[in-house]
Amino acid sequence: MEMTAIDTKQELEVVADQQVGSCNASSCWIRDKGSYCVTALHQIAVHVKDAAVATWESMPPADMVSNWIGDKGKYFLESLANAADHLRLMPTLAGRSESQAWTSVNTGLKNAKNVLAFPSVLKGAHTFYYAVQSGAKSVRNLAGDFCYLVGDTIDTIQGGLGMVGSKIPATVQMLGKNMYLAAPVQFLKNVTGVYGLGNTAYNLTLDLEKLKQIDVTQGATPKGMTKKDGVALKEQIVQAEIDNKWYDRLRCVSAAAMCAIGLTVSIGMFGPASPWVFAVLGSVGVYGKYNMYAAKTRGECFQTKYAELLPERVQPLTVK
Amino acid sequence: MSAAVGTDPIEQIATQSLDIDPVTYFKNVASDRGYYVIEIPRLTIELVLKLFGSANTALGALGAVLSKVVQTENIVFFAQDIIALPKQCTTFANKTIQWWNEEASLQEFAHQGRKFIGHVGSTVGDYADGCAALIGLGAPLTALKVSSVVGSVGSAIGAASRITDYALEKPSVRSHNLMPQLDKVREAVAESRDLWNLSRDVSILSLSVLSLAVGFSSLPVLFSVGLPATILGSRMAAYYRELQLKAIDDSCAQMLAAKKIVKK
Repeated sequence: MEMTAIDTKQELEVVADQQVGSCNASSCWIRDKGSYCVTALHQIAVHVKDAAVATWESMPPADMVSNWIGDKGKYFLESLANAADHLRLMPTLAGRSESQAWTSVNTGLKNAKNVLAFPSVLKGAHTFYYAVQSGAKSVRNLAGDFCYLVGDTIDTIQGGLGMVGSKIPATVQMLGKNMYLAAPVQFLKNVTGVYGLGNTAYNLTLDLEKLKQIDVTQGATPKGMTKKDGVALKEQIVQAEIDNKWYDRLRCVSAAAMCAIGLTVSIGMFGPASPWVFAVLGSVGVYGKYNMYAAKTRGECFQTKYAELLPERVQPLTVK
Repeated sequence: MSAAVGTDPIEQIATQSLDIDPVTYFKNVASDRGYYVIEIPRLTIELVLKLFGSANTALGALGAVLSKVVQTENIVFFAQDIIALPKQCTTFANKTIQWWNEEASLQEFAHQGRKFIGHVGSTVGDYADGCAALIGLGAPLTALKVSSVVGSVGSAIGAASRITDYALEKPSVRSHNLMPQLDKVREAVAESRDLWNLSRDVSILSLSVLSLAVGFSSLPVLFSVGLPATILGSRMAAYYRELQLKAIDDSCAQMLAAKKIVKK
């Protein structure tokens, strides 16, 4: 027994000598005990990531939809109007005429939604005024802002008149002359729509290109997280921003397409477009608007959790 | 160790972020609370018409249009209530089961029951108003219409339940794990927000009870315009507080930087 103990001790000493010979004391400590630290840090990282994901996942879609409805009442009315539009057109699939009941629902909701463009007119007018004053925006973008302002103003007037059962008059007497009004106003709305929305879609395409170039593997990796987890979290934040802009572009393109089709119809380039085209494009727009909101909320959720759970170790990732 | 009140850099940044200028506020309102922008001229027109008579037909027509638009917000409220209803049902059902199994007290069960009834009441009230709004827009939904009395009773129950919530529950503010200094600032803002919500609910309750008692059209201008104006003012003030809470969260990056500098 004694011999065995001595042998074991000698053996351990030999191993220890070999170890000390192969590395200095501190690096040995790091190698031996550091694994605990790495494990602990990894655990923290996993918890951070899980907390962020769990926060997002714990937000049920019902809450998200409810928040969207509350914040974007105008878009909610638009989605209802859009649903009514589909229901209005359903009978035509069976060869019958459009449903009159759903036509009146659709018209009423669309008018209300159009009047709700009024706050956007105020906001747009203010933004445009300051953009002109500061000279910070390019002419292209200023023109885009102006187009939105014109479009929202026409929407408000059309919606308001529609709600009292009236329309923009076809002709008016101005300076003793008979002036055409309704058709030019509709033309103006479609032209400004095509330019304004097209311009935004173009800007978003540029933004998306920039976002895709962000290298999430670069920059500081938060302490307490493995490089892999840090990158995964940053990827989520950037992806949410990409999604937001992608869906924004989708709704811009669908709305611009509606304006372009309206334009071709109004100038008599082609025959009247199928109402289904507008109903489907409208649905694409509503889908885009909801997903924009969802992506924005998701991104904010990750950003906030990221910042809160990693104090002073790393600056929150800013992708805007 | 946190620094003295007012000298802590994080608290200072949090306090600074509370300064939301009116332009930023109204831009947020225009973007996310568009109905408020419509409600302001509507109430103004209504006040003018009530005070100076309704001889001006143009103003009357404009008021009617704005009124119809504002009413559509009830459709929005109804949709929100309906979406939240399954969660309320589940919570109440779970509490009932817990109470049945003697895992929850009768008081807890009654508390949850009151919240559930309040939510249902609010949903019924919003349904009545939402239906009226759709009919006002020309939708042939008269078959689905419920009496305005039912709507007022529902709204009153909902408002009374929320007022009880205010009396029984603490401000619903999320605690900041690693920056406890923020809690002080956040709690003050959240308390104020809840107080404005209380003001809104008291006004809704008053309006519902008065409408039931004498009918909305018979109310003097002080109530028929004053109470909706108070509801609007309270909602706008509560939204301002919401924005402040969000601004505190958004200034997290600055706070982290400040904390880093202090530590160095």
